[in-house]
Amino acid sequence: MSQATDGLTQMRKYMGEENNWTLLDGSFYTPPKPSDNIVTDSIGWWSASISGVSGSFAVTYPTLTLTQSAPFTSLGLTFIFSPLTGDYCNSIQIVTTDNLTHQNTYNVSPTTANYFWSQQLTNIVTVVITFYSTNTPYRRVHLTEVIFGEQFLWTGQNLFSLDILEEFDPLCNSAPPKEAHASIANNLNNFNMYLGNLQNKQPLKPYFNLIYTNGTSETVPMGTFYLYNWRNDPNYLSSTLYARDLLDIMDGTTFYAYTYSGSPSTLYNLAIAIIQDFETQASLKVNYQIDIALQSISTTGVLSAMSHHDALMYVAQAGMGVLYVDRYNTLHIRQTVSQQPLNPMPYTEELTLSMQETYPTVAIQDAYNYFTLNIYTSTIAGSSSTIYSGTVPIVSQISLWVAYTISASASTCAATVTGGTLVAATYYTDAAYLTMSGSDTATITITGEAIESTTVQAVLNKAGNQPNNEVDLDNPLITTAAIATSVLNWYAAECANLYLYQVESWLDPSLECGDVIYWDSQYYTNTKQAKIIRQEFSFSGTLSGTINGKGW
Amino acid sequence: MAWANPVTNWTAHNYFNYADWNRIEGNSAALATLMQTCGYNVALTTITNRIDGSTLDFYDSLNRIEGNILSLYACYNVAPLGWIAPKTTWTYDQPFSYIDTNRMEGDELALYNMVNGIIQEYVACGQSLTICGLGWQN
Repeated sequence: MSQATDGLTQMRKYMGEENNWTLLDGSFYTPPKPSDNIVTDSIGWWSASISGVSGSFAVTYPTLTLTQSAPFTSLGLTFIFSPLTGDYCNSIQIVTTDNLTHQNTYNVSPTTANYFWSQQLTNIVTVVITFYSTNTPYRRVHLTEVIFGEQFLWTGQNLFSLDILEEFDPLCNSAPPKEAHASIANNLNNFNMYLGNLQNKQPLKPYFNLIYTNGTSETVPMGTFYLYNWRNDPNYLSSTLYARDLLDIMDGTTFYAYTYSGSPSTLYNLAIAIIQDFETQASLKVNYQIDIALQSISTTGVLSAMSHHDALMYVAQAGMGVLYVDRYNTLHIRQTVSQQPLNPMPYTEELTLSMQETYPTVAIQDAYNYFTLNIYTSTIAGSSSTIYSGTVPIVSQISLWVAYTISASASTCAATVTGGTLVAATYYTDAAYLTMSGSDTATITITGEAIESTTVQAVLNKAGNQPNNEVDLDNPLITTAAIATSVLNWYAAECANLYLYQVESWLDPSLECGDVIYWDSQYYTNTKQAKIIRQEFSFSGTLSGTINGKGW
Repeated sequence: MAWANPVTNWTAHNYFNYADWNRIEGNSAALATLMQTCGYNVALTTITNRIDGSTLDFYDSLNRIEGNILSLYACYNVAPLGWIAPKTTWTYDQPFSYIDTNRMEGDELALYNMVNGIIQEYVACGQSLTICGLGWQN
């Protein structure tokens, strides 16, 4: 059932035993099982029973119940049944329940496989959908997705331009989100910027449809982006949507829930804890893949309150990897190796001169030859001290995060509230989550045993004698000399790739950041390699853009 | 289970329905019974009989069905005329077409013809000319 609301669009037709469903032309595929945990596609929700000769289901009708984690308000629901086969349900009942337990019942007759039901829904917590009949006899309910709102599709003439920026930092000093700008026609009757159709964090999913010379076509997903801004263009005929990927949302939430115990924990477990905390805060489900190599790297470091994005970036760098979100909206932390592609490439890819608008620009960086990295050691003070003091106005009951002025052992923390009543408190290393009641300004005092951290510097000297180009790294999760040495060697190996390529290209959407390809120039063919670190796709009728690489 | 004539001329314009799966699985069971008369006990993996189109077979069903055909083949371990090695490495997101259904049903028909020939030859000369005759012809 979760696949019906996972935001994934069905990319292919799946075989089944329904009457005259599986055509043997090779266009139907073996379906994945839920246990396969694939993240690139989803079947959606299929009913167990099938309809009869007239298309009607027998009692008991197939029913789908969607329970919201928080009340939602929208202009309706979009039902994506099975657009690839043209199958849909032509008679359904929708019962909504709002947060005041008011129920409304609607009988709806969808007319297409991609159907928007226009109905103002306010503070809805539960939606129960009963399916009465299908448009074709002997069919299950094939419901790929239910979208809480309306889905718009802009193609061809309605899409004036589309720019997508993909960036990748192999050293994980940053983890920039991908960004998309789409300039779209605003002359459609069903779309008006002032109707409130657009909301922050609404997904925007660009696709490139490639048509090959032999007549076949392929749809390439370019990622899932979330709206953060939109505006009408001065001509009032077009609007521009601005969206970034999941990493941008992760930069706007704070990871408070770290608990330092003094005992080592693996980077793998820490990464999962951070992601799960983000899922709770953002009410978003995150598909993720963490490199299992991080299960054998431990830390006793202290992670202060910071964004989930930054916390994961520290984890990735301490694990000698990178943090990124792929085009299927899966978050990855993956170890990297200098001069090796991020993902296995079973083929040789070459950026030929015919794919380039101009000859490549090649710059050479100064070589870094001296690397330092702080190794942290933390200890818990033997006695309590005040780690937070402040006031907060209370009306009835409130819950809030309070960040300490200094990190402290969670098990030793205690809060006292004067001018109000402390209802509940959960303590972490750098913050506490307090629930208080009262009707006045309350004074909060939190005491605890502070955590004191000291550092020693690990050095990797590639200079021979004097450093002339130095890099100083700092990562609170590096707590042993052995890991520091590994991280420095990993970092230095990547820094040894000095050649920076830039090409204005026609761009091949099959290439992704992290791929290692040959970059042809007027001097070399199939000789010089570089890892792609940036791609800027620009579509306005034709596709072109800029591609950057870091090579050797 | 009674033998049903296989369909071996599937094309890209045909639909494959639950009754077709039943025929393939039923014919596997029929072949296993036939093999018993030749002294082979073939332990087939779960034969599914579908009563309508509500069954959903995943790739492990395909591996099971073609695995059963392979088990039947293993009795004599001789490839009859028209035999194509079954595919038992199905996984998700693989295209399924008339080539696959022709292979499954064609293999069953080839085995059926071979075993029936063997049974007739047993009556005549007490052994299988289809099997030993291969050596004799060589």
